[in-house]
Amino acid sequence: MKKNKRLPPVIGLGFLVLLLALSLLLALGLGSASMSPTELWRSLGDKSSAAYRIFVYVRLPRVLGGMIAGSSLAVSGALLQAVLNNSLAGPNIIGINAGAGLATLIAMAFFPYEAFLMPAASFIGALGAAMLIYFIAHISHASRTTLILSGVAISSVINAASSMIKTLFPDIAVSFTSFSIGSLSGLTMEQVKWAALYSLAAVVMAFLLSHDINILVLGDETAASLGLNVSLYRFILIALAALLAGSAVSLGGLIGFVGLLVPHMARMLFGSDNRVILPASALIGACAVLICDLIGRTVFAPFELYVGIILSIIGGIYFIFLILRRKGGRLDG
Amino acid sequence: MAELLKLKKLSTGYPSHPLSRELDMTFRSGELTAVIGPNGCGKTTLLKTIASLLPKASGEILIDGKSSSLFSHRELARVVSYLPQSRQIPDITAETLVSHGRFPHLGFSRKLTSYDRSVVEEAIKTAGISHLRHKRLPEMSGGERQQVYLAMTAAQQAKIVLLDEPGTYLDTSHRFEAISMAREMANQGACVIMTMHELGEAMEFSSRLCLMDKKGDMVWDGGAEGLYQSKLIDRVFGVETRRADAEGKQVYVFFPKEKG
Repeated sequence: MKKNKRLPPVIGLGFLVLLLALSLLLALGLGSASMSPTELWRSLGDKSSAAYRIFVYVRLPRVLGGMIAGSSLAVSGALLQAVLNNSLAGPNIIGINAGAGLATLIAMAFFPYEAFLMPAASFIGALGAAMLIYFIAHISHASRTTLILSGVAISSVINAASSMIKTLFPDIAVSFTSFSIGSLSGLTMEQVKWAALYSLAAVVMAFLLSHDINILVLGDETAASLGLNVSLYRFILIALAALLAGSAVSLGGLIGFVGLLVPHMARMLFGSDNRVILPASALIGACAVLICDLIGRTVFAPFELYVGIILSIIGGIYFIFLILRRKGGRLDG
Repeated sequence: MAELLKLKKLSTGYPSHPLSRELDMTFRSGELTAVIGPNGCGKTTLLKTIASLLPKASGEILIDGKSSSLFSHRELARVVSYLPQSRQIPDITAETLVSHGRFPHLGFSRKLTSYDRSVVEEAIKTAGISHLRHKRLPEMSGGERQQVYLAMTAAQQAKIVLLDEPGTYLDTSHRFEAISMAREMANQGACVIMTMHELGEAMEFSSRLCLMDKKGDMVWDGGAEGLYQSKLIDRVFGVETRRADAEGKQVYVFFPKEKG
């Protein structure tokens, strides 16, 4: 069941960087108006051309936003799986995305013109939900499965509250459907800029802590006796996971599956060293969202499928594949 | 021998519900101490309290003469190591786990120095796990994992080593290996305190025995012979202890107490 043949990290990460570069080129070039790399390059020189405007105001923010959302969700999931010692954890599963979504909707209802507020509100909502889950787990000494179930319960309460907000404020400047499924259309550079700032800070911080995360996953008592301040680290890492999920939700709404599945892929490829898993998750997450968004906006063109739909189809099938591959093994083990 | 650990009127558990009350004990370099007592008497709580994993109810813990509450997490981990009984089984190799023992000594970059590596090598050799070096923990037997974790503890190079039931759930030969690893750390100058369930082995292998009764009071602190003479094991565990000669070696055997 365990493969000992694993990719050497440097080669694997290098390959992922190439894959990301390729997906970036494809995502920037293809769409309802396709451009070859040379056309792309030429359009940048002519600021009055339609191609230039499509590129700068539509495609670039969408592609950058997708990249940031994908990386953020994947790293957020990897952090949560480490902190909660539960490989079924993910920001969308345990209610963090839902919390971010609710806070974003509230912010949109009351402060519709403050772009910089969206990631902040989103983060506060995500952190609130994360802390709620953490304390439920802490106080009830919940088992790993119970933790997931309480996350599902909290998600459903929060999502109901979101629907309520949407009903009471019908003119919120975002389509509720696209928000709750997860979509990258209509992103502006202003939104992307702020989210990028939040995400970059959190990802750098997470990478710096990656060796200490390796100690944390040895278990509370072992980690503490090795001199790690376990409760402080746990709090910091959950806050980082919330910050990342919040940033992603402010961009793409409730995009599912990336946070849960990408860390699994990273572990399958690279083993369990978080110094490799975190950057690998960031790269795979970015590729996954870019490619799925590309599929969504090209396959049925001129119709556009939300990126969340494509991710749910591919992610769901991959998840079932994971379960079958284990043949009775425990996924949460 | 140097006094490494001193408990002054230490009470464990909650202030409102102390487990062990006002312990006054001193532990020295080179000692291998076995803490024995019935289930639930507070043996593990005592070790965790000494390791600062649990708050103390009252009293003081002096490490090298300095109160343990004055140490940071990291500083404390350089002088006190605690190996819990139940642990995660992370998907990493033995070598990686043993090198995690150096964590409290690492600088900000978290990089192992050549000295750290030599300590890790030494610990792997002492524990006799060179053949497991590249094996992953989930693929090992319980006994193999125990040796790997003991090697990690050895690599930590703490002067005070606390082992929570290092032999439980292991077969006899692995149990002996675990105890001999503990003995080795004591021989190298550590003060080793371990909780144990196997009374006979505790009496045979340790240099000092601490017996706790059901209420958590320390009713005996001393050698095996005196403990046998005191009949305290019989009282605390409700058994009958007999001493026997096993082909020239003195052993202690335990029988259910006769009814009536």
